[in-house]
Amino acid sequence: MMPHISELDLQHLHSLLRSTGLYLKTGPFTYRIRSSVPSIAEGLHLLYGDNPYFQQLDFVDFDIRLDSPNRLRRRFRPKLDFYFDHQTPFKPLPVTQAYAFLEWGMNWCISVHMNQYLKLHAAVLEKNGKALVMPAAPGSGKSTLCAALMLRGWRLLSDEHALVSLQDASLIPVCRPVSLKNQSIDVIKNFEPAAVFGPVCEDTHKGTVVHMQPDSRSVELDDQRVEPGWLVFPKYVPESETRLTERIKETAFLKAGDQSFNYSLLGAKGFEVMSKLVGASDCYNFSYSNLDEAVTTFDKLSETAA
Amino acid sequence: MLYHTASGDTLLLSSTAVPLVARLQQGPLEKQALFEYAAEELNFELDESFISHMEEVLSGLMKRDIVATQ
Amino acid sequence: MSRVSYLLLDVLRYPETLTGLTLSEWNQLIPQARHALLLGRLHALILHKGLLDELPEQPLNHTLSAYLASEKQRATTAWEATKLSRALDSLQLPVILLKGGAYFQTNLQISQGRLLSDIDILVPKAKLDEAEQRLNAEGWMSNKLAEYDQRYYREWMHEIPPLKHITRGSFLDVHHTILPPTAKYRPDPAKIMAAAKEITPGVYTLGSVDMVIHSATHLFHEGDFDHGLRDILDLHGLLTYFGDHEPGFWDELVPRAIELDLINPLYYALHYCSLILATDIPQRVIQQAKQGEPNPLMSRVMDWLFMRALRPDHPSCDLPFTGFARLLLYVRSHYLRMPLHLLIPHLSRKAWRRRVADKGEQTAPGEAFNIPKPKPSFWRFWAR
Repeated sequence: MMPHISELDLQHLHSLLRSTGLYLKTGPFTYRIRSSVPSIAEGLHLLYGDNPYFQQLDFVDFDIRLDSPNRLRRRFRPKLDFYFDHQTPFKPLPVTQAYAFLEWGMNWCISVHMNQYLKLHAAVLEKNGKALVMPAAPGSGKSTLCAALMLRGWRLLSDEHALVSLQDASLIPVCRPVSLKNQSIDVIKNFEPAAVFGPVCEDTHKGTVVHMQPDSRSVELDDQRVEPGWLVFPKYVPESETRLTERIKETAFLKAGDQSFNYSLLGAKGFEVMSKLVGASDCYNFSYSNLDEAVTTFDKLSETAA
Repeated sequence: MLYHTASGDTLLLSSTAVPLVARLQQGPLEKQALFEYAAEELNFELDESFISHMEEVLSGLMKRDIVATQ
Repeated sequence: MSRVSYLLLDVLRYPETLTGLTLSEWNQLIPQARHALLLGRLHALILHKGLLDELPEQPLNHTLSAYLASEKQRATTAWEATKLSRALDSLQLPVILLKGGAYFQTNLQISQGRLLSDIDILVPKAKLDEAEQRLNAEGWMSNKLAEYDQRYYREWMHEIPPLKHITRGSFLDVHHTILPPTAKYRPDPAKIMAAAKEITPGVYTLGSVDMVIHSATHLFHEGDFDHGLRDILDLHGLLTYFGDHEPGFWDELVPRAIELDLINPLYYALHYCSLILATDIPQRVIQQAKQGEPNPLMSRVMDWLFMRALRPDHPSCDLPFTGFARLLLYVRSHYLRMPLHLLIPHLSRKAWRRRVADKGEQTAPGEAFNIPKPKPSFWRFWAR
């Protein structure tokens, strides 16, 4: 039985991150993470506490590091670079945004590489053996909805990436902390006071950003694929009624394609797999303003999984 | 829905465009015969308004290089 | 001189060694290949040798990923070539594809797993303006450029600035010569165009010998060594393929290079291909090519420089002073492109491309973290 990251002493984790790195596996991907920034050690220790601790992995998919390029930088205008192997794909960010930078960077690794899946920018959850895929158009509030569903018993596959198998269009988990921003943070805190949050990053280009720990069951089942169930396009509309309306598959296809990282790249195969995914899913539009009602609606929907 | 392999375009065909494309996938055809076929399939009269609508659809398909004349 | 090897080169030269690699070695190989822009090519090699089922899945996800991206580019190139030939058809202008575009269209093995950043075509200088107009009409536009940049391209380099297609987003570079008119060597573009061969109606590539010479010129006279290893592999691939499949190729190679005033880059190509990849070149050709050899001192300097610059840009492949070597060669390439009195501060073509395409080497996090989702080309045909 492998030890979990939470069982490591925080100081030990910190020194690991400053030397040989922390080896992390989430879903099908492995990372080696290095950083001398304390908030990153704290964030990882807390939010990936249920993940297994690997002393060493011979091969990692993504070798990443967050550090200041030089000592002078570190003292006077602390900024961090995100290194993917020896490249720096992004401009530096202030050290106050370190933890968010890490999570964004980890997302980037998946979004930009890894074409062996059809990838959608979407939240994915599971209940009763079927997958709920919610593509993330701006203003959708998908992360808030995703967090709420997870807190009410849905298994989290991902709040960011729908990884669709090219073989059979099943959904592959990559279970990581859920990112919440601005008002959503308080909304979820009220919704579930017991929710666990990592370092708060203020003044990012998205405003205030924080990450919420996934529940241990979701982490445990991080290698279990799920067959498609529902494809729902959420939209948060303040003061609105909760409404779930069916939509035709063809337009759902197009809308899902708009939220895909590599639909075009995969060409005919992309078309084939998207067809399978949409074909096997019940497609809906969803507008809401009240989280409790929203969860109830989805719970009812999940009973149609039979 | 259709995937056009040459251009990489994905197409959503309306119900009136479907018989045109489907028939042409089997082989080239004279325009008149094509419209007759479509009228048959869609259960429409082959009248002026139908033909003008079909011309529109056809020219749209040609613009996207799905259909060409030879 | 010693040739210090590195894992990627060893694997490319001896693919059968792939089956014996440990995961730790894969952990070194994948980053090297990525930096060298050879991940896709590595996958193609694995497919070609039938090793797919024998190798571990995790590292192969990375090579496969790059390979899939490349296959998409193959399809895109074919479509662009079709569109281009239609666009320029009215001008009776053959579309002569250069470099990667040509490799894809002729299905050369070196196109397997390759990634392009743009399509390059060659047109006669006299038709340049007409061509630009037709291309503009068909949707290829040059971005709004600063006055300085427009002039750099049009007046000093005598080129149209790179074009981008307004709906498809593809990039197009229109050339009228293979080296700038101000360069030290003056190959006659008319001769090159006369030898072009038609592969599909209206779409041409350079003749085989010219393709090799062009590739050599591009590598040894441009200052861009980001993909030096890939380029030398291309040359190796072209020489081997044409050498095996085209009678007369070896006999035509050196004389043609002399005719085009490009014996110098050809000499380097043959020299470094032999040295690094042990390419099978007939002795008589090597002897003939020595006409392009610089003096012995220069030779040693060039060896020192190129043996460093032609390695992947990755710390695990660096020899001491690699960075310095690249810098010197960069400066040299500019000297070769324009005589000293014209060598004023200007953007390199790559830097310009970055600005135009908004593809910075570094994106601001705001842009990057809304990962661009390439807009799929969806078209709807609605009934009224």
